[in-house]
Amino acid sequence: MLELSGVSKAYGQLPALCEVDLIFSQGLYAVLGHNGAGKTTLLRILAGILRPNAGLFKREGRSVGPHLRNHRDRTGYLPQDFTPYPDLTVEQLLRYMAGLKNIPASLVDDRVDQLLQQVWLKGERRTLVRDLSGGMIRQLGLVASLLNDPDLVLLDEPFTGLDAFARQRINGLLREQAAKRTVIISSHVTTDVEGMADYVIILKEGRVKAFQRPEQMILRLAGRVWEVSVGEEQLAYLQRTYTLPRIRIDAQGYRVRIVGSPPAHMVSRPVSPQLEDVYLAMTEEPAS
Amino acid sequence: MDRIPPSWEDLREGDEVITSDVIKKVDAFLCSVPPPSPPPGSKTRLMSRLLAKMSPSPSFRSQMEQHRSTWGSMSSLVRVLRPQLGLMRPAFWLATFFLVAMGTLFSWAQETNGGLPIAVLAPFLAAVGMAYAFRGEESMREMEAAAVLGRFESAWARTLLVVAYNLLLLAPATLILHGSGTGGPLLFLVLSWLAPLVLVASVGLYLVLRYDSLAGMLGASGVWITLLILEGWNQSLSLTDWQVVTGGWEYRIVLLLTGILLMVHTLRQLQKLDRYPQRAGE
Repeated sequence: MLELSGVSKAYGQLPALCEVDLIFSQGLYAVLGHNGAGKTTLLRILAGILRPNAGLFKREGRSVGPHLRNHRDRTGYLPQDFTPYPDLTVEQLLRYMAGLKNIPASLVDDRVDQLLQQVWLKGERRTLVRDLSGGMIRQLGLVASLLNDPDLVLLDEPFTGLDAFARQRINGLLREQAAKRTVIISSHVTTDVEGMADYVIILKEGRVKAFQRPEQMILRLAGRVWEVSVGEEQLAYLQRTYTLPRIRIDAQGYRVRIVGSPPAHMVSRPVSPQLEDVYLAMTEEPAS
Repeated sequence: MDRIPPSWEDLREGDEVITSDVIKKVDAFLCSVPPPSPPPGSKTRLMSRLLAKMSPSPSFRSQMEQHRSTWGSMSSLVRVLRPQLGLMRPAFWLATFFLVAMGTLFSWAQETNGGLPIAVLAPFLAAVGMAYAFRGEESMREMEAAAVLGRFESAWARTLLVVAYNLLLLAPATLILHGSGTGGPLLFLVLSWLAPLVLVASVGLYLVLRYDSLAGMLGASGVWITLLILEGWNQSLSLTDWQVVTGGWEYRIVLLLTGILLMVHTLRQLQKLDRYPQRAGE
């Protein structure tokens, strides 16, 4: 179990995380937030590569500080925009990372094979990193982070650049991993984590706005999400007045999902809330 | 009525009722056929295969721990150096070897001041070597930092590799030059390239850690070029005498000590940075 209590981090005068209290156990956690909300800072602190300015970080009830080596040994971390050495092959890169993770050389081959197979990259073993697509590099990063069979897996924006098939494979792999360990992923796209995460954390300006199971979050908005069909002038009015989760254009004009009571003079119908509604309602302000 | 259906699949709902005569005949037939017996040992084989499938295989983590428990303390240096060796590609080793070989040939061909080309070249090799060893992008550095053998271990291992490799390359070159009588006293000849090499490597280390590999290479090379120019200027721009350009004993020892101190300081700072405080402010 991981525990953050009162953790704050600032870069100079700029606060990145403010008194964050979080507890993680086994399962898949999704950290949602806009760019600059503090997702990467949170993951870096959890990975043990960034010191918080204040607060406590414990793992299994013990402060991480004195046991940092052990913490890192049991953690896998995939940074955002992972850019590995382009002049190494997939195998050379994984061997290098296995060395840094102190994995006995005699076990590396089988481990690399097994993980590459899971992300369908086994055929690329001898391919130079520079010849891989962006999605493949992301999957390679995921393999690298799982090499040491960590109890805690931290993935910063793991779905960036993945096509639908790769996304599905990674989704399945992460679900499988989350059955026996703690997996924490960050994203700013709710569809990346919808139907996948056991818990969702919504960050805004370094503060935790919500930390719940997604279905509980969605329940919060039950009966409060409406779809309104409007023209251009009414759309401007809605944009000023409401948080607008989603706008679709159809033959009649705009179909807008709004959170809150719809204006009486507009034709509206209730719709089922989704995670995106919750996320945007918590993080967006009306344009006015 | 006494018909025995050729197979069970032929029986359909609404078929005629099987009489007791038929059942007796079937029973008599089955009794007359000896029951098949499995080959000897097959039950044991089957059970062992089933048990092997059913028992949980040891997790990768436990396999790792088992192997790690057999590691001796002597292997820790190897374990830190091994991944870093894999990072240095053959093209790098070959290119630097070629440069040193050319420098040695050039030095050898000279009748006097034979150590000059090697002494001038060695620090540049260190600057390029450090930049190459630390060429990883920011995100790659982050991933490395999150590993057990993190920033500190990687930094000292890479520095050791670059300096040791240059020593390995330049030592034979020095012996060749000394043997041919063009390089002056051996220790003086060694110091002429070792001192600036260590200084430039330490400047490179500081800059690659503080900024990036390009800054490290340019900054470290810049320091060496500046030293060369300053010393040359000090000695009336005479670049013909290797003893003048690369300084006397004191100058070389000061360079060497400065380099060692800067390297130790940089690595100690990195080690501190790599620690994680128990509480804020620690």
